[in-house]
Amino acid sequence: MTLGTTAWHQHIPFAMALVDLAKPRILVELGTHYGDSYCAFCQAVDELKIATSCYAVDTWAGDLQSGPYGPEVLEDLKSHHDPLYSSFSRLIQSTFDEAVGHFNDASIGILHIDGYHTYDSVKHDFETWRPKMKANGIVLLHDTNVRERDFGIRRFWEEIQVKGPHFEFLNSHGLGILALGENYPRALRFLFEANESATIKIREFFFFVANLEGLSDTLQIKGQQLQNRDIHIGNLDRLIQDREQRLSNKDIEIETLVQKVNERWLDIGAIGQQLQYKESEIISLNKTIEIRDQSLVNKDVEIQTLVQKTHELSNIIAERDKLIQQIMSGIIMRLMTRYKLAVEKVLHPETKLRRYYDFASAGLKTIATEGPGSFWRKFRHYRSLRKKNSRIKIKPLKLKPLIEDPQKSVAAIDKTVSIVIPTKNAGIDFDFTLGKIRNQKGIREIEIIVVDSGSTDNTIEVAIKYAAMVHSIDPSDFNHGLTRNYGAGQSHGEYVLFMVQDAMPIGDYWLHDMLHVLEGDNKIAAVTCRQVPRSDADLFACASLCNHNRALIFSRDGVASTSAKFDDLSPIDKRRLAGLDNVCSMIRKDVFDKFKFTNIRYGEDLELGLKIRAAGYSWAFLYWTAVIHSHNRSADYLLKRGYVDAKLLAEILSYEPPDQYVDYLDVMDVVGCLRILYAAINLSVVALGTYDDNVKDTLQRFKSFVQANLNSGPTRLKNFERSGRYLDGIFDDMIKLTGTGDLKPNDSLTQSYFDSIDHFAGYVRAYKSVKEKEGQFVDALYKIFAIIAGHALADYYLLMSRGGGVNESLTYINSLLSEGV
Amino acid sequence: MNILFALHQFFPKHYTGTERLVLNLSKQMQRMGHSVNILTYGITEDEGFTQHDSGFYIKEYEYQGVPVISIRHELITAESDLTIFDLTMEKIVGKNISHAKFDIVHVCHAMRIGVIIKVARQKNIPIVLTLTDFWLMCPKGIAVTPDGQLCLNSENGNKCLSKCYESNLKSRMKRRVHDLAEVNKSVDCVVSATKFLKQVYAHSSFSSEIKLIPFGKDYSNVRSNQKTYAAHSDITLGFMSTMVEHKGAHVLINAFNMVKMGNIKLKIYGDYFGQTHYYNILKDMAQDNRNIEFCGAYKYEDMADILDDIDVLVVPSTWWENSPLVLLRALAHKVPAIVSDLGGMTEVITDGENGFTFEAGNAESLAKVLRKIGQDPVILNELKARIQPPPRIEEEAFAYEKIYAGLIRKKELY
Repeated sequence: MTLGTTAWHQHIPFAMALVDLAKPRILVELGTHYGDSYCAFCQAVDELKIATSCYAVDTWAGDLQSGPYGPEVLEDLKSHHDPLYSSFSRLIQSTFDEAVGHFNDASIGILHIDGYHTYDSVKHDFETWRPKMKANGIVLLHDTNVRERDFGIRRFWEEIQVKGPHFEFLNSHGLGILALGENYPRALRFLFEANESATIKIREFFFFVANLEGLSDTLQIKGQQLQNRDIHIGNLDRLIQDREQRLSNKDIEIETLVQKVNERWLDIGAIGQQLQYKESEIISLNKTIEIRDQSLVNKDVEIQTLVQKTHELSNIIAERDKLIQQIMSGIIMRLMTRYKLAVEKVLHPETKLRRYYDFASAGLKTIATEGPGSFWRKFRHYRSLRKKNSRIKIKPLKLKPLIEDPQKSVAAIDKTVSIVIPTKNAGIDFDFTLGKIRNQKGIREIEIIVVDSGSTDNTIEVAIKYAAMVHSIDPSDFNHGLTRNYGAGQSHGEYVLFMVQDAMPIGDYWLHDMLHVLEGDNKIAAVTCRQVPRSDADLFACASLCNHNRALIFSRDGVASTSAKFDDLSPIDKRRLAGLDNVCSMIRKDVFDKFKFTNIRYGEDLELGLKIRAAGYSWAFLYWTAVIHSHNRSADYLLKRGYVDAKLLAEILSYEPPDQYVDYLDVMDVVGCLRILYAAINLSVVALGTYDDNVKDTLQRFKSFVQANLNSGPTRLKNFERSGRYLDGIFDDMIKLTGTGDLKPNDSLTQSYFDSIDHFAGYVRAYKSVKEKEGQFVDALYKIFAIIAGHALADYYLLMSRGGGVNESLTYINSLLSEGV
Repeated sequence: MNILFALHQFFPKHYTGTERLVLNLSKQMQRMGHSVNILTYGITEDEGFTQHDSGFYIKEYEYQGVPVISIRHELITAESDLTIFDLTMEKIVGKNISHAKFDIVHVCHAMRIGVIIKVARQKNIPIVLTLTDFWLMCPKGIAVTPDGQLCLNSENGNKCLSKCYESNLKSRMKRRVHDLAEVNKSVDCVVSATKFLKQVYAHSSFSSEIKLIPFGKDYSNVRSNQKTYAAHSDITLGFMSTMVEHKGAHVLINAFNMVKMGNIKLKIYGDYFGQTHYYNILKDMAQDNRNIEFCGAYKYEDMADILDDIDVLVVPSTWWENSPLVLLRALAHKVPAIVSDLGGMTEVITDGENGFTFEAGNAESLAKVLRKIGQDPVILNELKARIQPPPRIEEEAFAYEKIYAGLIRKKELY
């Protein structure tokens, strides 16, 4: 049903209330049109379940006031009305006059006149239908408040309202209600007896009720809006909570940052203090520089004089050179040269005979040039030195010439060499190593035995690729000596070579050269070769290898021997004789089987070397046959290594610890010496500044700074115990148990450190300066200290263990420094 | 030992093969405890000189911890690159190496600085000469005529005059021949990294025996390319060299254009050093092929990343490559290579074993190889598995150390 916006809408609540209050038997409406008012009456009847019959009378053709309309209006009304109300309601399509005859007199309870609205029409309708009204019937007139056009209801209403109880609604074009007698339904008394204020209230009430629908829509919309607002508020609440959480987190961050800032301020304070010390150092250094400048000026003058003299001498030398050249080309010189060659060929260097010859030559020369007195002085001095020098002789081995003739073929050796390699995660170079081994020339057969203790990389795969025999053991079963024994036990060769997984052979005849030595002399039971540093080796690693060779007098291919009794030898000489190094050593299998490695934690190769030596064999060292092998170790590791090596020397080589710590009551005193030296090194490294000068001068400056800082006293040095890396952690661990103790330098310890620095200088002078290797250089200074420190702690341990004085702290330090090497 | 290396140019401004191998060798020598100095010619240096002496500029600096003495004429002439013994430099070179007592002089390239051989002879210092290219017998260094013909015999300089140089340089060419004979007599040991170069010089120039010491690779920054290939894998070819004609990039682009396979792309790395005309030709050749990418110059430090990215290195040189360091580097990274069948490269790459070879200069021959790889990338897995890592710098240094020690001992005896 099409509900147009009619002027009757606001009267609908009253209409329904009227039906409820009046409960008419018959209700008639004249002029229904769309049916708003009529359906309101019907709805009230239907919902109240009143026994009312309703009749709507209209032509449904329109009039002059409403305008004509088509049948669709009635059809639309019927479509709504019939299903709902047709049980008690009828739509009569007729004129009012034609319809009136169908109603009995005094039968209608409520009559609603809403037809043509002229005065005459309304009057006619009222008078025509008046007889049909019950005595207490109610007549409704719509549009009583329309005062325009030809609407005459107002005039009629004003006439009729005096004829009985009445009420008028003014809104919605006005609705007049007329009771036809005084016996109207009592329920309507409030209406017809309402005074002025009651009238206003009644009108307001029904107006309000009429607009409630709109209000309810508004309320619904508002309700929805409120709901949306609630959701929005909920979201905002969550947002706020989230922001609060983030704010809280930021607060924590800020707190942490504030703490860090505070710590930084502390650091800045400490640095400020350091700067103060530096400034005072700078002042004193400036003074020193002033003095040096002055002496330099003096030196310049001296130099100029010397340059002049040098120039003169150069001229003399040039003339002498000329003369010498003439002599050199002379026959006497040629004869002398041949004589020298013959001596070289017949008397090998470093043999006894050669030494006597050299001595005799030098002696004759001294006597001839300086006189017999000078000779005897030098002779006595030489004798005194000889006692301190090594008693090891190196007999040179005559192997291939250094500059090989590639045309000369190398005779293959008809032997099998078994190569035993313990492995664990050998890494990417293992492929290179095994490839080099397999490509070795000049040997009948090479057998590779890999004993793997739990590799998780491709070590085993690579070993299989190169046809190695692979034996796997549990990682917990690994032992340096016993694992190698096991590997050797699987071998079939006449010779066994032990090497480590990261030693890479150099050249195609590496194996052949070592085997050739053993084949050439039955008395040589073992041969080891040189280690060349890897291209990624740091300064310390390179220096260690270089100095290792120097210390063991490895500078050419040779065999070490001695005429002295073994027990009379110094530990270093014993080490030179022990010789074997499991990085790469080849041993006769039958000799190895007699002795084998023992079950010790470290030094199994040295120990075997000594046993072989004791059995009357010797070993050879090849300088011109090598493997590539080096490690860049941390200072922490080297501290432990220094410790373990010193104990090893004592155990195997009867090294006696010095007595410089004999008066120290506790290991924390030794730790105290180390800490103060460490602090002096920290400070001195910072003081070094630049590294532009030559290495020798840089190291000299460093040593001066260290000594000066040690002299400045422990109170000052205490502030510099931490370097920010290196050994901070391990010293912390020691201090935890030993306590902080006194910081007191030990001169012998300091001297040991300086001696090691000098050894390091012996290597690092290969570099002009270390300014492009500053990091590695500084690392080396600490690594050298680490070795010395380990040694010192081991010395103390050895002293105490001999005297039965190993306490809990020392036991802890012993276990701390023995693990992980 | 105190070793003096001598070569025609050096870092930081020059960083190609010879410079790199001298730098690596000297650093390894230092690690082994020997003192090292480099003597070089400051061909493009125009600042930092601290001395000016008798028409020469001299400066000393350190490069990666290796001390360098750089000398150059005040006025450098074009002919300085032709002369083996520039006698005008004899005095200044002698003066600037007199501060240290060198035990060995190791000449790695005699261009511009060859007079060191005379100076060392006068001071009775043993001399080692490493042949790194053809410069001693070919002033252009590459043994290729302007019309692209390979030229391994200068016919006592006559061919140089007829093919490559103006006749007004006749006396210089004759002088070269004479100086080469003197080099032959003066040096104590001659070394080549490849049999190829050894044979070339032994055949034409040197009567003295030439030793063989392959170039060694510094493995400290080498990674292994672990890629594996399936039947439909995409393949990236790499060209890593200067873009000059004899390096053959045009042959590669030509071959690549013939191979219309969507699973192969080509990345070209390298600088063209002002050879704009040739570079533009390459760009034109490649412009219609979206699978070709010009990646620009690269630094030594970038090589590991580049070799991680590519699957095959192509070295399409049209001249007698000796032992390109980039090839050795690729093999160290386990990247197979396709190389032209010229020079020393075929000593390192065996066709079908650890890479492929093709007829030098022949794009169709190269295209055939590219098609083979594109159609069956799985073959790369086999090639990679068979790659033997090239020698290490430690091995090269050890071999030279033995020679130095042998020469020093010989000198002491005589």
